[in-house]
Amino acid sequence: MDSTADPKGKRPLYQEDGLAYARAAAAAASATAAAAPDEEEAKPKPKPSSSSEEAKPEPEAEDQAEMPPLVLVAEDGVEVSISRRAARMSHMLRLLMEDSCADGPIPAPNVHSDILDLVVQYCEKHGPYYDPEASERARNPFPPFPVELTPTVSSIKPVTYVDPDPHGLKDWDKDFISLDNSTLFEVILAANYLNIEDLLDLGTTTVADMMRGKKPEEIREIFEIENDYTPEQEAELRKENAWAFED
Amino acid sequence: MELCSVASIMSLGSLAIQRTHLCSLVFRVLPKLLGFTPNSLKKLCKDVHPPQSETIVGTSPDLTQDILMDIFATLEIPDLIRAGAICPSWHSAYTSLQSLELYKLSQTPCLLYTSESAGDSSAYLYSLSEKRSYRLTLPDPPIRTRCLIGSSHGWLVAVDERSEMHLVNPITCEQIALPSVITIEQVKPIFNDYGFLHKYELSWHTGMRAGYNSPSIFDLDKLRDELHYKAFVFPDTSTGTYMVVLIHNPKRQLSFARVGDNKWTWLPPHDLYEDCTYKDGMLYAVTATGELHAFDFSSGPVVTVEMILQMRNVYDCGYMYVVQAPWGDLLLIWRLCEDHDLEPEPGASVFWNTTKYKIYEFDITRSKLKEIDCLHDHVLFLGHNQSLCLSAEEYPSLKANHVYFTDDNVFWTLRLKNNHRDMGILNLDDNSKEEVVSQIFSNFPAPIWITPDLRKMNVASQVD
Repeated sequence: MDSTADPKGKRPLYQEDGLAYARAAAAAASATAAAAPDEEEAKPKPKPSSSSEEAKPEPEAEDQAEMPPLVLVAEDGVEVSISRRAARMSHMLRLLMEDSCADGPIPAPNVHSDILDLVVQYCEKHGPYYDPEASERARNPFPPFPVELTPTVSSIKPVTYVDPDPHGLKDWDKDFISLDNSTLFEVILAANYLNIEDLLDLGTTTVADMMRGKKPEEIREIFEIENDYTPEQEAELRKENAWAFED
Repeated sequence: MELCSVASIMSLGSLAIQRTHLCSLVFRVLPKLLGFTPNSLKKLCKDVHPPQSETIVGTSPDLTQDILMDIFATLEIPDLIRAGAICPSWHSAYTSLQSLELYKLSQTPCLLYTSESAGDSSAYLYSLSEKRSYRLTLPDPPIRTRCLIGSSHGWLVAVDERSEMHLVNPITCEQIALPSVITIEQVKPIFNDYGFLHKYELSWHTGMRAGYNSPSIFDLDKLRDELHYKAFVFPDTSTGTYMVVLIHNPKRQLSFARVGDNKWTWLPPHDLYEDCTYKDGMLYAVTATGELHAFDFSSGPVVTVEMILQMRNVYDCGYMYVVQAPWGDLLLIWRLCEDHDLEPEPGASVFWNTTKYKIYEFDITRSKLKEIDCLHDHVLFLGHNQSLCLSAEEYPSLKANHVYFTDDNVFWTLRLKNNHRDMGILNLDDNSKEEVVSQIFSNFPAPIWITPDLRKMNVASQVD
């Protein structure tokens, strides 16, 4: 799987678990008993006889707008549909579509339908403009050590002005991500599960922005995080870099 | 890694209760499994038992370790340290990030300065992103008894009262001794009758000419007023070591050493160097006469040097810097101090202020030099630190097309220790200047830019 080649070491394995889970479930959903669920590289039979009303997808289906939407099943059993174009934003769903495993309902077992609705809303908004390669190029937070001064693609010498936000999505994102913290965390977890890099980035940078310049007590209060440390443990912890905790 | 079914995920989860920092699979699978029940439980609890106002009941779902690491990876070091103290799970993400060296490497530079009232071992770190200062305690010898001659990749190069050099990381308090000053070509130790080192002899010869004066004798703490000029620390990927380059007198020659060496290696014959930068085995150094020299460290045991540029415009009232631009060219920068008075009327004081910068872009492969008058979205940090050219997009707290500069004219920083410092932020659009931080602080050692770094060098020749 190409995911293991990810140079940043980010989630090299996780999507395979989720992928396998989805595949195993999709295979199980297909009523064809003859299909032995082979976990190594199971491709469910293309015509599930007693499955949903979806038509058989074409092999290279992901770009076809007229293809039927995918159906995600939330943890509370509610079904949420997502257009194929929007589903491309999720690496996990993209792989399912490429392998033609996306016909039947796709389980999203840890995600509540309200959260799934939000995630789908984000993907539908960004989907039309999504370019997987550009997205990959724009992120490189972990250059190899020692820090090299090699010019990267993103540091191209500035000559002409390029609008960084041609579709006005930044403002929409800002409104979208103003959620209460509990929901924000749920959206981040869902984006992580479905492997939607852009939404995950949006969520994590929002959390990071809320943390900057704040003391630990303030951060705990904002995010409603329980402090499991005893006062002695916490004092010990703060000793090492005491300067960062002073006023 | 083979694909797992749900059943095997469950059994793997129960096996992997022990946390291993480097096992990213555990980070993802285990919290996910544990996250099922407590999550729904917490939601239930919230409805049945309203949280008390005194204690904070965790109602937000737990974020997984890799998500936390994603969040932390964008933080400046002070925020990162504070994030690690929130709760055990956040602390675990912080230590993983640190041990795997995945935290944000593009830290915004800070200003390091000292203050008489804070004591001799304290230094302040002014954060440009938070606009506040932190007070740090540095290892002995006390920082206010030392001269700062360099700052690269989070390391200060400090010269103590025996004129010996050390690398000091003010964040980690790691300190590493550099080869003794007596191994520099022009320096000889002088021992007293009891066999103890008590003075140094400095010969005035350079690579080009024999010293026309006879050697001079200096007290242990006075040699540094004469000899040391500027120092740089460069990580060398090919050898996995750190190289330290020293510009020293007489006449600003070059010597270098790798961290762990026991002596400095002289690089004759040229002199009058002002600044240098290093990449891929090549050291580029500029001189006060507008020359750019390239030293080849990768071509074998002997270092070769060649002059690759002679600039036509050379400025008297100024000094030069060289820095790698992120887009691959070298930037050659003249710092001009047209506003100065070195022979004032009686009662008036001497002063020397930077008025503007002249910036040239040099394409090494094509040997083309071009003056530029705008840095567009980039920022320069100049001074006694290793010169930096940063992209303003990566550093939102910095102002594009500005030069952040500190005083690094040795005449001022060493000879006139109590003078006001020529430092500030210069806007290249109109050459207007503003202060970095308006606070009374000590002028010696002179304030210096530093990019905080949590990494340890872990070299054998460490001393406390």
